Amino acid sequence: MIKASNETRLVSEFTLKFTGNWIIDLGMLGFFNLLEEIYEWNFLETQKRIKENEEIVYYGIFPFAYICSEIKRKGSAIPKKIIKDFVNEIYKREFKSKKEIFNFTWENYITKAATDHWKDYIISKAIDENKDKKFIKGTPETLKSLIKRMEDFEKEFIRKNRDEIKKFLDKERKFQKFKYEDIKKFQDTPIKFKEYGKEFVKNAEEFKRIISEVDAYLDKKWDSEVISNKNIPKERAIFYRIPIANKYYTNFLFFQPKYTHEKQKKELYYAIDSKIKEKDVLGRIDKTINKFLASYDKAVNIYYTPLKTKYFIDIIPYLFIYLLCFDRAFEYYRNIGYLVFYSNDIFATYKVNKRLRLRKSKIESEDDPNSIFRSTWQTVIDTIIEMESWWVLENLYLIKYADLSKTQRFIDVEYMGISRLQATVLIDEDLRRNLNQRLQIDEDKYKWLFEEFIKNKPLISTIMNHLILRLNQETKQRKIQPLLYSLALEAELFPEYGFTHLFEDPISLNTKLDELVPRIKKSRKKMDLARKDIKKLLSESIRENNAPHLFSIIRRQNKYSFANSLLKLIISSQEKDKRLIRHLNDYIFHEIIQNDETWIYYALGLFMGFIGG
Amino acid sequence: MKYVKKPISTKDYDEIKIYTKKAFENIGSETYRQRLIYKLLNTAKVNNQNDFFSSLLRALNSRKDDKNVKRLSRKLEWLYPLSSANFEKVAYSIIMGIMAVRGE
Repeated sequence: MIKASNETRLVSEFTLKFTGNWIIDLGMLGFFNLLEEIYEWNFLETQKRIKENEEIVYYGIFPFAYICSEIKRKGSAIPKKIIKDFVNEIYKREFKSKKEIFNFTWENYITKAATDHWKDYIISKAIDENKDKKFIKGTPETLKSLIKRMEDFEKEFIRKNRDEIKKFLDKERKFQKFKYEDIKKFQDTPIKFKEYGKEFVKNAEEFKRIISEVDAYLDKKWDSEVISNKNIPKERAIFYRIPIANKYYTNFLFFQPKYTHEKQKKELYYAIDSKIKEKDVLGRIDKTINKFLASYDKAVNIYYTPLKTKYFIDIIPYLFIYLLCFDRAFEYYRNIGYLVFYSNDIFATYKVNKRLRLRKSKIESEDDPNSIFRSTWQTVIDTIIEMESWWVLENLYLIKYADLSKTQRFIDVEYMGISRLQATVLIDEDLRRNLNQRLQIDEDKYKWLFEEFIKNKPLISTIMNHLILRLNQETKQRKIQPLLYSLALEAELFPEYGFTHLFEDPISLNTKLDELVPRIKKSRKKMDLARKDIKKLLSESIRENNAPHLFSIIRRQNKYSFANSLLKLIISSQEKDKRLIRHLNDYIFHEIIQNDETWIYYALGLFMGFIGG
Repeated sequence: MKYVKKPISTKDYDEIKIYTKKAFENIGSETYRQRLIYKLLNTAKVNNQNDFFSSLLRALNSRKDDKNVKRLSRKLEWLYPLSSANFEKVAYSIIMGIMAVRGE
């Protein structure tokens, strides 16, 4: 595999890039996910293949993958061999046109991949449905009579061997006829002679033979009339429809149950080729997609306007492919719902989501509702550290929607982002590294500084709780710098310093933001120096004996009392280093005595000298 | 005691500290200053302005002709009397000024 970090610098060379519209972008992500699911191609591999031969990917690779994936969603498996053969074959052949690529894919491989699923569908309908729905329009008479024979035998079989059948099928209640799943069980499970007796085995074998006959008949029909056949008999056009349905795009285009096999094929081709120009179809797409947008009344987020496909159709090639893949961008998490991480960078978005999927079981197993937040952030941070794409930080969203099946109309979308200010802080490596730490705050409770910061929660309370453990020697954590960075950060972000005005003049805010990180670092340095001075000035026993008392004064926020106790300790020391005395004196005078607003952060910074580490 | 609320700025506190340091550079020994600081810290702690200033002025009185002592006296005269909140800040500025002598 090509190393990601090297490759990220070539971002601009990606063939497929995000557009800035989140719905289309997530569609692209879904497109990558789809190809990964079916062909096991990663992001870079797919990009490479698009670059090499775009038409093969969009007119061959995509439709095959899409139909396979829809079939898989219905619970049918696609033999790996078919997929492998298809990829080998399509890249070997020469095609004259896009249409030829598509037709080759559909006629030879999509149909082949759909065989088992189609058979299951036809038989299950015949078994489980009643009267009118039992047989699809155009069902051959031979099949009807085969099914009739199967059902006649079934009645007799049940009458004779009811108890054994109940045992075999694990049925406790009364039953009159088999369901499709029962038939499947007969088909797939070997029957043990000893357990059920001679008569049952004999009848069961006969029943299996009849089922196989139905199966073989369907195989033969599909094989001779559908696979590689351009002219499917008109009377059986609906009978041979590929039975796919999609919860998100209900009854949309080729998912429409009334469409014939030919029409499905045509519609999918049109979709790929962006030939859908009919107003009502576009209207339906718009409606389907706009479920994700809050109503104007409720809309609190003004970044996204309703998407009208007609405006994009000529600008974005393969628009409908992405729209069709939209739902594949999301991953379902138990207790949370469908979720996707979105940023303005295609590779970062892909990577973060892939890593989130790897952490899925961990996310789902945690009771804490914040675990998804934490995991997302941890993943985002890991990814951008690796990719060095800091710009991603300024544009992050976690999009979530509730269950689709219950109500199609209402879907909940949540955005998660960070402010420019937070991004500015996190772009700095030192700050990010030091905030990316978990502090123990109770016997078995930890807090992630990064998370607290992103959530605009005060870091100082976490630090205070952590220091209590440190003083009581109830934690093994010994790190000092993350604490100092947090204190310095919070001291510089103190509300009085004017970072709370949301609509501040961007130019003046920019200047302020530019100065912010150097200021935080300067404060951290001062604190660190004061801490080291204290360590040098006072003996270990004095520091240990006085730490609890000083800490309790800080907690009571009594500035002068803190200064009083501290100064008494300092004057009783015999230190001869004049520079050290001067530093400490200036620090206490300027940062604590004179500082009415943020003295507590500096007091704690100095106090770090009293504890180990 | 009645006092007028005076606006005391950061600059004022800086001056108090510097003048105190300069004044005490010529007053007493290190041990003397150390004892004085203890005493001042104790009176500041209980917010006792009278005791604080009487100890301080007694120390300054020994060198009342020194120009730095004069400067400090004038500054204190301008500040006095102080609200209790301002007193604490002034008191600690003085204490830290005396302590700063050790750093020179």
